[in-house]
Amino acid sequence: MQLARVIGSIVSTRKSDRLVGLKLLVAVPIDMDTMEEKGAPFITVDTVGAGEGEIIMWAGGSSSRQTDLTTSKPVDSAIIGIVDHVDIGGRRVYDKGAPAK
Amino acid sequence: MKIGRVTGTVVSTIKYEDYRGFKLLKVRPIDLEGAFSGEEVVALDAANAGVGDTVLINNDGGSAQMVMGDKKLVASVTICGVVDHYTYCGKTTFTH
Repeated sequence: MQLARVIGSIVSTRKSDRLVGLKLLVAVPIDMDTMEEKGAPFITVDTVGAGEGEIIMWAGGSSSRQTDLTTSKPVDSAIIGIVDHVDIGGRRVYDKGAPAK
Repeated sequence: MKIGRVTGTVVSTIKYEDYRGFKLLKVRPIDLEGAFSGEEVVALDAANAGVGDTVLINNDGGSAQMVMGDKKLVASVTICGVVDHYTYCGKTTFTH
């Protein structure tokens, strides 16, 4: 699993029947050391009700099809959790409740 | 999944039996600004896409088997949706 920040959403009408009903979000990977965005944005399926700006956990590959919402759905990554805080080496590097810088 | 733009069609006559009847398209990943990024690939089309469309590219073999409805299909990249619009950082981009 990896961390990413949700930066947007994406809408598709003409699509595979099996994707109907899934919420697609745009996310960008997060570097755990700096908590800064790092890497190319990707499209992922939301299973937990995540929204723009939130840091999320996501799973890729066939694991992403193990959730109740994505079973037998053609997805290659799924958001499986919204991160509250991250502690590394006794230091809090991210806290969702903290006021924005 | 990634977004990409369909750049052309691919026709193959001699091919693996299970591919018969499937449409092959050439697609190149794009970034959120619409600029090409990454290598062009050949994808199986499951969304009735056409040249110039912005599409959802799924790069997963298991997903390819589901989306094409064939549990034994040997495939990796599929086009599983045509993008209408996307919003990021408060900006909405309409793709057609």
